[in-house]
Amino acid sequence: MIPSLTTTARSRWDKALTVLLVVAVLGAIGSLVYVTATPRVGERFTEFYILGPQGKAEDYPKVLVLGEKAVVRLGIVNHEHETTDYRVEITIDGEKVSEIGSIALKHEGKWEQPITFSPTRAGAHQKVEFSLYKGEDTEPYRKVYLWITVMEEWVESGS
Amino acid sequence: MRIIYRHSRPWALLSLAQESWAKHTPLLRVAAIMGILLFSFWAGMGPHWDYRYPLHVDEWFALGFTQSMLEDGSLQYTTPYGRGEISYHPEMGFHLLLGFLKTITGLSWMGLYRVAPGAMVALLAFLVYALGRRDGFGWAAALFVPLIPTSIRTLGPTFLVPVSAAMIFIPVTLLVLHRLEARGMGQSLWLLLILIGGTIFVHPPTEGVVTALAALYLAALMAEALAVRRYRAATNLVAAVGVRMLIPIIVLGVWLPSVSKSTLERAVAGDPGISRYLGFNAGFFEAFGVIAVALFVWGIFIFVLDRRYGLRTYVLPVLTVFLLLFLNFVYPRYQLGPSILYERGWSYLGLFMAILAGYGVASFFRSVPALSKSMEALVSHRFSGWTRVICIGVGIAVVAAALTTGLFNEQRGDYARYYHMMDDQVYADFVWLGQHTAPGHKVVMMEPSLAWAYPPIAGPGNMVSGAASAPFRTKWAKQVREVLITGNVDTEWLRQQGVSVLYTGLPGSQKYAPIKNSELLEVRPGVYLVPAERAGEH
Repeated sequence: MIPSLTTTARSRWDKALTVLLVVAVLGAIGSLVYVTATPRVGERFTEFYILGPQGKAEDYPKVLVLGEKAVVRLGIVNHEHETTDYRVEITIDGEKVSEIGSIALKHEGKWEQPITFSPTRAGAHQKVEFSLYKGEDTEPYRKVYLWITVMEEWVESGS
Repeated sequence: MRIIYRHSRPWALLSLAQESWAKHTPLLRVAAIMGILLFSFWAGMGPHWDYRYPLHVDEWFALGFTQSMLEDGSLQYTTPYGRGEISYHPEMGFHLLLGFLKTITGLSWMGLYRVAPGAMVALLAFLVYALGRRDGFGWAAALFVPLIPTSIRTLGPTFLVPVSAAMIFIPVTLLVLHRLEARGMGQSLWLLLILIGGTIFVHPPTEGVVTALAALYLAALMAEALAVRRYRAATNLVAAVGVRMLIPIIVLGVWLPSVSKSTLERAVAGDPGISRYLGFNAGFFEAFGVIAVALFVWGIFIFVLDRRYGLRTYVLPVLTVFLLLFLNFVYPRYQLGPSILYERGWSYLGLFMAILAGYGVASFFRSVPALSKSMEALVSHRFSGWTRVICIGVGIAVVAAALTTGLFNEQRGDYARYYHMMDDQVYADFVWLGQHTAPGHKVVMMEPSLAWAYPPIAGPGNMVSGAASAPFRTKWAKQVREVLITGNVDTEWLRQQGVSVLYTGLPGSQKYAPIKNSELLEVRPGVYLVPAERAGEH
């Protein structure tokens, strides 16, 4: 003879089984959706860049006249997963011409502004270096650079 | 509130479970298959859980082509890899599928790849379930699908690449072929036509496998018809199945002769980059799991002994054993046939092994009543009630052991050899390049394999040059890798090559290879612009 449960017990068992199944399936789907939509914490880094005046990677200052101000757009994007203070130093051939900061950015915060610099001496092939410092660091975290030629006065070419 | 048993024998609960199963069959069946699909999705997402980018260069490559196809709105488009115009790519069906998924879901490429590999494995498991559902082995076979090994060389279901998409056609084709009867098979044959036609556009080598399956089943059906002297039926069968197997091939040949020719040439010539063969590939079987392999062997015997599908029964086991011997012993020695079938054949073998292992497991559970009865005769009356519980318990334990040892063994990771060619920093650099340099710039990666990933990340209109990845080598890739090592790059050489942007990011290291050059502008770490002329030479 096949043993069986009482009617009440069986009814409870059925209900419990149904609820358990629904909860299990929903729980599994929910867990998968959560895990899928929440990737691990990413890498920590900061984007640092310079753009031309039009906001594209072109038309960078190339030839300047002494005393003329050059414009570039400087950008910082924080992916450090914490609020970070930044400062930027601009040097021409190693000589500091300007400093920007401190700039405090939250995680995923972006700062992009036009900045100007002005060379202090004439000469060909001068290196304009933009150095990004994080917090109180004395060593630059990132560096980018341009090359410029600075003339004493404007000379029309090809004339 | 306590449950009261009339009898305290151990199989009371078992009996109750059976009663509940019978009463709630539809609900429980849906719940069971949902569970299996979730398990498949979870397992399929294995290498993707903690990594939000495509893993394999072929995935990036397909994304790049699909993006250009969508951008141009045509199957004839300019490749983003500097190779001119492409006209009807041999895997255009896969690119169309990807483009369709992206368009209807509205997901980004990375968003799509966040879920699609797992979904593809779940779909494959579902179709395997459908294949065996009526014969009672669908659930078990579906459970083994996530065990199909994937590796960076042979690919597999956990990569969203043409072969894994085309593999979903195999269980459906098998289902049609198992159900194919000499009479009243019109609808099945049209479905067969669609399956063969679909596969040829998604992944031509898989079409070869699907066609081989159809041909073998056709031969078995013919033999059955001839054995009972039904010559007319046999002739009709050959005509009906044969024509449908040939239609897609003829259509492709007439519509796109150049694609057919190049596919055929590539199939015959093989890939020049493939020079190392794996020999007996123990890693593949270890990755599948030793217990699962044993169940597969058991499944083959049971499948043949059951002879459920008449003569057709022999096709799947014979093909599987043939494939196993061919891949492990024949091809590495004699290199017979297209190398692409050798490379991708492991995935087909894995699929067939999963189906047969599932069959073996299901047959065990089917035989539990008879088995427990036999055991009852051997044990004392006191324990007779336990035999069925023990049999089912052993079955469940073996399946659980097969799945856990298959999915969590160390060799599986060694076999896969997953690598991450993209990281967040390089990704951000590519997005920035795409936003600020397009269009008209020719970007070159110092690490050539990264070039595959550039167009899909940088976005429409962005082109890259010199994409190359192991085991394929190009002169260009060698040159730029040398630059990466030495840091010496000649501006004039870059100009001659038409290069306007040089990128030196090294994925996974958060570092950039330094460049020794006093003319290039480094406007973002690792991003060097090649000036059209020297500063001051205006």
